[in-house]
Amino acid sequence: MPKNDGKHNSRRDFLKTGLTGMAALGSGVFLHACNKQDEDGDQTIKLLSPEGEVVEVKRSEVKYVPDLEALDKNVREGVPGRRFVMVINLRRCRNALRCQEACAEMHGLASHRSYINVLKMQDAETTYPYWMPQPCYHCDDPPCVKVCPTGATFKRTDGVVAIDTVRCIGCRFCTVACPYSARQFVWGTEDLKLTREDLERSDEPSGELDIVTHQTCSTRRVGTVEKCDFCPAKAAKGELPDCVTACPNGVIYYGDENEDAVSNGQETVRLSTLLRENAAYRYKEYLGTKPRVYYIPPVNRRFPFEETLNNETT
Amino acid sequence: MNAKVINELIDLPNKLRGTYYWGGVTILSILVLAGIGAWVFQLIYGLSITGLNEPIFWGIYIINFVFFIGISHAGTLISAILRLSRAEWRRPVTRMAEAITVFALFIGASMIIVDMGRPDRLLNVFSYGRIQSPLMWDLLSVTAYLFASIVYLYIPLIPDLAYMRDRVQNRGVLYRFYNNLALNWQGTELQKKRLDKAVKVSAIMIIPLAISVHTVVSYVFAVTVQPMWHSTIFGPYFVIGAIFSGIAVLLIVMVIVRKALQLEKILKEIHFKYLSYLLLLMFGLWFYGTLGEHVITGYGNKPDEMKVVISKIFGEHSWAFTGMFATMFLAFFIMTPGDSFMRAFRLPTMEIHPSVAFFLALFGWGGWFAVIQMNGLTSIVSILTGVIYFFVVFLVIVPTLRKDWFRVALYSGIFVTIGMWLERFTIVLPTLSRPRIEALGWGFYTPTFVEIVITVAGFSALALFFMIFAKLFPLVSAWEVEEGAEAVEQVKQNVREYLPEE
Repeated sequence: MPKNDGKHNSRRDFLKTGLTGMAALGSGVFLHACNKQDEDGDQTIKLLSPEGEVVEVKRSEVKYVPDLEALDKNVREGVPGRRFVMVINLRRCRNALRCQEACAEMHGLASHRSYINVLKMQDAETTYPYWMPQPCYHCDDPPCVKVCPTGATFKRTDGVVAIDTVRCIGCRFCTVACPYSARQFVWGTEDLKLTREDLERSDEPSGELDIVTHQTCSTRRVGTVEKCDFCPAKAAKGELPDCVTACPNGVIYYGDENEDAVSNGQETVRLSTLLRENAAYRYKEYLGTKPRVYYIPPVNRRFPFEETLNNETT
Repeated sequence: MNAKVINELIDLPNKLRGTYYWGGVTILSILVLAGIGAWVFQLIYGLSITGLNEPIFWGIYIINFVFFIGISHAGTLISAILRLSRAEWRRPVTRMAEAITVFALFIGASMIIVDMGRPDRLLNVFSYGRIQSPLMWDLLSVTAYLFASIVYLYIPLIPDLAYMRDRVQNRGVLYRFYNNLALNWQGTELQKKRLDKAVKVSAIMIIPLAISVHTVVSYVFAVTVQPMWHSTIFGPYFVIGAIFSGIAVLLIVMVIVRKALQLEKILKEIHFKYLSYLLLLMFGLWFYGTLGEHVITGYGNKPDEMKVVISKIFGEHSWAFTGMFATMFLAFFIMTPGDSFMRAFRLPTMEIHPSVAFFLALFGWGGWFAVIQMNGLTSIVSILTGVIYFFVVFLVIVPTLRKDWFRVALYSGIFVTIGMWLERFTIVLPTLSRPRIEALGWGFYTPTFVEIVITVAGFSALALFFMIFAKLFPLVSAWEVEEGAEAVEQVKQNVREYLPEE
């Protein structure tokens, strides 16, 4: 495995610089009163270096570093002003399984795992079966978050139920509490198969590595819980999750409840209209979990139900 | 009470010597070390070497956790109730019960750590702990109970520690050990009064604590919305089961201790008889709870819950479910005079060697279960084997195993212990094996070698800790037995009080 130390350390270095800068700023403000002012208006300020020495530097040389604590907080608090939502149109699903493939590839999952499952549903013996893609529902009243002893799984303001795999102790209380079995557990290293790029970045084959784009919600570690993370990092940039764009039939709509708009990559529609006109529902509403994923009932279906795997695009 | 008996009781630790004791300690230590080794192995390779898989997130470790925490109610709760109700026969029993409590709690709590995916982050529970999580309630409750039961074991131990101190000849390490622990106990009136008060206060305080422990253990399951777990009866049902299994283990330990330490004059028939009565009472409560759970769920016929009930009765978990009932009812028939019932019908009974009868009871049931699996429940072969098995149970096994109260205690204790472990099994696994979403399929779980080694190590550790404890401290509370003789007058006085005034 080729190692790229400089690249790997860049994030750590960034953090280090940032912390130094913060310490510098803090002590700078504190020591402001006893500063000398130069003739030309350029201030010098006394700072406490990480080694514990007081150094004097020019104010112009001190660079502003974004508040790291706020950045960290943002990961737990979510993308401001957003309420991510998903609508799955069961009329269109024909079990192409492209969503599963794309999800597994995007998150670097092992071949036997996926955060989204396409399930064969049959509500009663006499009724016609249909396919139902099932991601994590990112419930507004999540049973998994309630029971977590450490707050490693949490609800964000943008609606995402995320997992902090650095904090997770692996008790698996959330996995048994989820009534939809949406959560998975990384039992061992064989469940961690990441992309080549990720592996190149890593010097620890045990899987202790970060996927930077997803920050805390999708860093995968052995002995912790994982699940669909609703791809908030992509959504914040205005991109659609891979399961949405990969679907050849435009089954999955993803968007923002506050904007009242969802898109399946082919069309962008008004969320409220979509839900109202198609009599959308949420799966097992009676459980009181208030999922953020809506289903459009499988009526007037575009495809007949076929038991075999149907991978051809339309 | 003569001084000879007291001396004999104080001398109990010295009786533990010879090949049997040290051989036992060695074997148990090897088993415990094997368990620790298996855990290290599991730490290196992750939980993927266990049989746990995607819908079955909790397995044998959690079953053991619930079971051992249950055992821990043996003690303290029983001993506290008996102390407070001034049951005079409690005196030789309490110490053993309290010791079992401490060790079983310790093992139960460590089972949770074994189950964790990241035990290295255990301290996160303190630094990021959320009080909303039932796991935190567990943590608080179990640690509080652990400390409380250590205190409750220690306080009544103080006078005996003073006895031990006085017996040590030279002023070596042993003397300092006992002297420091004895807290300068001289047996003065003031000290006795204070000790009595301390024992009473801790006995009162430990009862709600013990009940809270198994209640919140049950809440770990009951607060989730999963079928058959989300049940309001779970709190009391778990507590009843805990006391039930606790008494059973206490009885087994008492029989072994009585035999190994020749305590025939101290642990008498009456103690076993009364504890067996308590066991019978708890059986009734446990059966009532189990019946309610399953009849109401089955009658309600909610599809999610029905899947679990069917998996218990007819599915892949039926061996554990029917095995639980088989062992529990065997224990019930041993505890109640089932053989006199047979004799009333003038049916002949037979006696064989108890060990043969014990294995016949277990393996006979297993054989019958295998016949059912192969031929179906309603086939003539299954029914015939069943009839023969029950004849053997009632005519041979029950009369053999309930010949005297020691046998009643030992065998019903063993059967109840096995049954309660199976009960924990049928609570944890069937619900997990039937996900609410039908399309996800069923989950199957077989514990691997590592899990079995760790489980065996858990049971061995309980025995090992108890043996080490017995080597250091007298297993029967000498001062309380001594005090028992003085209590005779007190009891007489009490009885006179109850009588109507003339």
